[in-house]
Amino acid sequence: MADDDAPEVLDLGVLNDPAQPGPRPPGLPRRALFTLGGAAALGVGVTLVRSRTSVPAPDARTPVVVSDLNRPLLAGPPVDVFGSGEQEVVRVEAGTGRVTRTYLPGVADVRPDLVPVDGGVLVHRGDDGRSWLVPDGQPARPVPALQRRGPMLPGPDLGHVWLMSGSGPNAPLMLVGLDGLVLRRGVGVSAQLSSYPVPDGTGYPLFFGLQGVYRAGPRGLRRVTTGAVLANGPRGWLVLECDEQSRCSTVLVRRGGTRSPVGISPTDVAATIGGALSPDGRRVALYLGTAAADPGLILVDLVTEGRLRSDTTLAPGASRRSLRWSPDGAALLTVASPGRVVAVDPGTGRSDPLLPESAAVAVRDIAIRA
Amino acid sequence: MSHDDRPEVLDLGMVDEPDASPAEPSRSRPPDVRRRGLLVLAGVAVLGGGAALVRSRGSAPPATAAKPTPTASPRPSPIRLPAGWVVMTQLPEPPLDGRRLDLFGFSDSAIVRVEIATGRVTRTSMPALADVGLSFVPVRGGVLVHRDDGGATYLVPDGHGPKEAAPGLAGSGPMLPGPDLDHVWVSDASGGTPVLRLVGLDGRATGPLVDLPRYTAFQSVPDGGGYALVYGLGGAYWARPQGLIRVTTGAVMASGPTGWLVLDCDDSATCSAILVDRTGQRRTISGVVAPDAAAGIPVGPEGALSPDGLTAALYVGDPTRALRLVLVDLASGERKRTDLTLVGGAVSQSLVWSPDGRWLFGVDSSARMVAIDPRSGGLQLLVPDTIVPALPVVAQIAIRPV
Repeated sequence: MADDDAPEVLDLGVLNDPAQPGPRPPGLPRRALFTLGGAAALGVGVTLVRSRTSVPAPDARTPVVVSDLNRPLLAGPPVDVFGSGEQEVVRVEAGTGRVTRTYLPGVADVRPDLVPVDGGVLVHRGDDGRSWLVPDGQPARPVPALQRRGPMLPGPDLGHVWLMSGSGPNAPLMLVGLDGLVLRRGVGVSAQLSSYPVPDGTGYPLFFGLQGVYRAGPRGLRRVTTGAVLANGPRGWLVLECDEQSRCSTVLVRRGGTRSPVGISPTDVAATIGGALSPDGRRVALYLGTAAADPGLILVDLVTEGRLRSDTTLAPGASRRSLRWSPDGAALLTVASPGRVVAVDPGTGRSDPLLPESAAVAVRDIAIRA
Repeated sequence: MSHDDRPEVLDLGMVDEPDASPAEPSRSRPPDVRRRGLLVLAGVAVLGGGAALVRSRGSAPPATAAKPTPTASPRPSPIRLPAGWVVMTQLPEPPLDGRRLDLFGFSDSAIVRVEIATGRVTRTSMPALADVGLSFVPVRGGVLVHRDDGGATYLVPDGHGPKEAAPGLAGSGPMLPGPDLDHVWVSDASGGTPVLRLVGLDGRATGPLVDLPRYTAFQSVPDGGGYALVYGLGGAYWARPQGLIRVTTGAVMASGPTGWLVLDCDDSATCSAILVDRTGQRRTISGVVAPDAAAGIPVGPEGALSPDGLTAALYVGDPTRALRLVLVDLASGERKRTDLTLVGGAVSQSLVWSPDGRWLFGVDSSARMVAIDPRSGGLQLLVPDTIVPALPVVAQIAIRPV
């Protein structure tokens, strides 16, 4: 890599480790390195090592700050956890404890979409359509080719995303490559006077309309329910639906179309504002909203019908869809008050911060890349 | 009745009538500035009310789980009623064919009653209620004006100013017309499960309760035949004393005394227009929905089925730009254009048929009451523009046979 191409990175090295005995690595004193780190934004690629202080936030002069907790943060298969803050995007490599914070000033006034892709994460403003790519370990850069108003949804693979093809929620979606080339057009229903489509959890969109909720999968549109989707996941959806006489029930709808009733009282889950089914489809995590308090997180075992209340409440201003199961279902990640990423043990409901306080970053939404 | 209780009636006499001779005792007194100002303000205020009405009838259910119907909140304090302002005007001749029918136009601060048999036009000013949802229900001898926030209901007797109605007619949620002119449906969620109560004009409940869906997307609307339709989780339900029955998982495009024209979509999102009668029989209607229509196609404002169930009056077009009223022959699927078009953002898409289907009444882009001749599609104003003072903006219309 040429010098000019070097990333503008402040690498803080291992956090909170005791000072290593022995001589400091050769080079400039740490203080001097921090100073130079600021200069890095001016075009000088600098890599810094070692700090025991709290992680500084990235800024225009130092757009990328890297630190390393030097330990796995989640058991199981390694994942990258992305979070969007007011002026930054954070990437936590949960398998190694490496934390990368990237400056992104254009999203302070909105809660953008956060879509992991090959080699980075896309950040998208629905209101004006601006998009940025945050390449892993590098500063954010605008992506004019993906500028479209409305939501950006994850595609079926890490090389594609869904974007609206026109203005308003009634426009069809199109599947677009990261270079802006359109792979598919005219996908979906025009969900009249309803919300924009949302991710289905497997890379396809869900549409909400007067006639129910439809999924635009690889084989076309299929209705998931005439009612409401409470939670989605890779195996299917938990829905609340009502029959010809308005008798309502909760039903597990599998991807293949089979439906099985679930012994959860509709009244227990009718206040759901966001939910996620575990990867094995056995558990569901639901945020239940009331006007009196921040939405609380409950976990329901769909087999035993056991219900567990977590110690977690959704952070104010956080996305109601910021519920992400780890790929093995051993942990549930979410954004708890006051904007910290926590890992919830689905067996106990107990939550722990994903990052220690010295490395914590306030975020409003999270996404996972396996 | 004491003098203070007497409604203030301003009878303006005949429209276009020569002024009375100064020597003659005046039959009427001209509107003062204060009254004129009130009417102007009423016109402004109703624009917001009209917008709310349109949204409540045309919006889609929320993306996430439907919310249980809220329990009744404490009843708002009654608004002190001002002295009623009633302005009567005699048209030179009865409009249309002079049939025995009263047509009402409602705003959130005035009621207009056009007696088609006599040509008399009565305007009654109401307390300004722009900030609350209102239901207007013609009843025998007057109109009930119901505050949907649970506040007091007002009775506006024909030709008189408003007065507070019996407490039993108040309730959170809309008031709907009952099966006859002596009863109305009042929403009640105080017991947890939302219900409709059939209430007489004296405020006393009569007959069984009607259960409503527990998870409702919108408040109940009239079914066109004296009962209720409500959008619940899973579709639109017909609410009667016998119980709830789903009319469609989709959208109701038009209602009438014989049934409904609905837009249904199947599991693969293929949609069609279906005529559903009150026995549950369903018949596909061609010519209403494009053959390639997919779930979610725009459903315009709710239309009206003719009393014989053979014709549907529907607005077509883009609601944000322009709508045209068309009449669809439900046997052949053929469309007939009418002269009624609405610009985007028009105050009202309210429609009502005369009981014999001879006339269709609506509101034009200038918020004036109009009559459409279904034979020709032609349009005529119910009340001439020359009437003084000008009629208020009309957001909703209704009829009452006399």
